[in-house]
Amino acid sequence: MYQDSEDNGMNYGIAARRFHCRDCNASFISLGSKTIEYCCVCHSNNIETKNDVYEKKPYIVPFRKTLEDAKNDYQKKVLFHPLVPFVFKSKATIEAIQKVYLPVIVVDANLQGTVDFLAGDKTKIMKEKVAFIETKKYSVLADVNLNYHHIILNMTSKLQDRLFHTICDYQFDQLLEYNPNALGDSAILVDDKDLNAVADLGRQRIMKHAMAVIKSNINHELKKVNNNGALLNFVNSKEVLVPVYLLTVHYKDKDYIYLMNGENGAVSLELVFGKIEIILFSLLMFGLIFLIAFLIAYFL
Amino acid sequence: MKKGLFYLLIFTSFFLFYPTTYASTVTYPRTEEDFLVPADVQVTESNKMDILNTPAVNASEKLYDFAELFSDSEEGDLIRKIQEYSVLSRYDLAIVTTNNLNGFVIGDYTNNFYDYNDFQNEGIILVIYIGGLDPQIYMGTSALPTSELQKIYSDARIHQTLAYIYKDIKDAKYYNAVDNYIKIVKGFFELDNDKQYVVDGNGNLVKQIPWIEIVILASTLSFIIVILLINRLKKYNVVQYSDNIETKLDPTSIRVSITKDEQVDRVLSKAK
Repeated sequence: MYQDSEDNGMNYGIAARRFHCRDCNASFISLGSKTIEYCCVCHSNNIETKNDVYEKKPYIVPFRKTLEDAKNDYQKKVLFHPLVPFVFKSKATIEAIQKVYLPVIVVDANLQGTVDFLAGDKTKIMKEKVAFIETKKYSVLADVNLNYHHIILNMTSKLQDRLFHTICDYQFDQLLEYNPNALGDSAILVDDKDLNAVADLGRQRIMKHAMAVIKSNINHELKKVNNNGALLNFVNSKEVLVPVYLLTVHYKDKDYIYLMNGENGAVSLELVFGKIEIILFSLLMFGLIFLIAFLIAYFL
Repeated sequence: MKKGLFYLLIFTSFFLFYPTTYASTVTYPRTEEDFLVPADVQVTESNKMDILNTPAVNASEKLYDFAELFSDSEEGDLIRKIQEYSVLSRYDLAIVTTNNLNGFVIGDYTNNFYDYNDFQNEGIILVIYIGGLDPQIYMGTSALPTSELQKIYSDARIHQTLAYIYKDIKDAKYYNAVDNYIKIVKGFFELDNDKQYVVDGNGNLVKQIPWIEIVILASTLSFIIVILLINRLKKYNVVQYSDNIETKLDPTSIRVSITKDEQVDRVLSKAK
C-alpha cells in the first residue's frame, strides 16, 4: 500500500495520496486504500488527487469515539428539532460526518522575568465642600514565573481557532507514536499555517492570560503595564495529530460546522433556524392546538 | 314488652309528626276582612271577586294537587325537582292540578292563582284542569320588566312545551307529563344561561363554540412554543471561545512576587 522513503536515515516521508479541494483550498492526505470522494472540510466533490509524500507527524492521539457515536450525537441534536432546516437532517448530511486528523503542535511554555507596572488608586475627597478625585500612582515591580503545559497550536487554517478551542481538551499524557494502522481510513488535514505566525498567536494567548494572573496579585485599582521584561519560552514542542469528527453543512451561502473531539466526545455545533421551517411548524402547532381546543370545547 | 311498645310509639310518631314535603290541598278561606293577598296586590272593586274566588294556598308548597292525580311518592319527587329548579334559576315554579276552575277560564285561573298568592315576583305556573271533557293545560309567567324570564319562556317555547306534555296528560300519565314539564323548563333556562348552546336560524340546538378564544389560544401557544425553540437553537450558535489556557497553567509553578510597590505621584482633580 505504501512504502516509507528514507532521507539521510530518518524515516520521514510516506508515499500517500494527496487530495486538494478546488472549492475551499483544503489539502488532506489519505493513507488508506479508500478513495476519498468528498472534501473533509466543505464536503465538495470538486477535488483533485495526486500522489505525494506525506511528512508524518511523530505522535497521534487515537480515536476513542466511533463514527457511530458522532452520528448519534449529531442526530440527537438536530433530528427532532423542528426549526432546523431539512438539509441539516438529511441522511446524506449525516453520512457526510468524517473522521479527520488535525495537525497541531503541543508545547510547554515558561514565562519568567520582571514586569513593571504603573498602578493607581482613586479616592473621592471633600475639601471645603468641594469634591475632588485623588489619584495616587504607584510603581510596581512583579517578579514572575509561570509554567504552562500542553498548549495546543492549531496548524491548519481550515478550522477556525475559535471553534477548535472549544473542544480541544485532549489528554497528551499518553500519546501514541506514529502508527499508520491507527490512522486507518481517516483523512489527515495538511498543516498550512506559517509556524512563526502560529507561535506568535500562541505567545499572545499565553501572555494575555499571564498578565491577568499577575495583575490579580497587585493590590491596586488601576494597573497598566509599563515595561514587560518577562520572557516567554516554548519548550518540549511536539507535532501531534489529534482526532476530530467534522461535518460542514452549507446553507444559504454560509457554512455551519459540527465538530466533535474524537477522544472525549466534546462537541461544538452551529445551527440555524429556517424561515420556511418556522412557518410550517407554526402552522402545524396552530392547527394542532386549535383542534384540541375545539374538541375540548365541543365535548365538554 | 313495655320497651317494645315504647319504641313502636317513637317509630310511629316519627311518621305522624315528621314534617312532610308532600303536596298540599290545604286552602285558606279568603274573606272581606282578610283577602290573604300579597302586600303588593291592591284589592279593588274590580278584582275583589276574583280574589275571593281564587284558592289561597301556602306559596312555599309549590305543588297543589287538588285533583289528586299523584301518589305520595310522585308528589315528593316532583316537589324535590321543583325546588331544584328554583334554586338553579331563582324563579318560582308552581304546579296546580284541579277539576274546578271556580268559574274562571283556565288562563284567568292560572294568572289569578299566581298573582293572588304569595309567590315570587318572577316565576312560572302550570295548571292542569281535568274537570271538562278534555283536559286543559295552561302555563303562565310572571316577570319584572327587565327580566330575562320572558325571553327564556317565550310564547313559542310555552306552546312547544304544552304541546309536548299534552299527550301524556290526555293518556292520564300525569306524573310523566309534569316530570317532563319540569325538565323542559329547566332545559330552557340552562340553554339561555349557560351560553353554551344557541338556537340557529333553522331552530336547531347547536353548541356555541368560542371560536375567537380558540384562535387566540392557538396563536399564543404556537408563538410561545416557536420562540422557546428558537431560543434553544440560538444556544448552539453561541460558540463559547473558552480558550482553556487557564487549565494549562501549572498551579504549583505560579510565582508572582511584588518586589516594589511605591507611590510615585499624587494627582488631585475636581470631581465632575
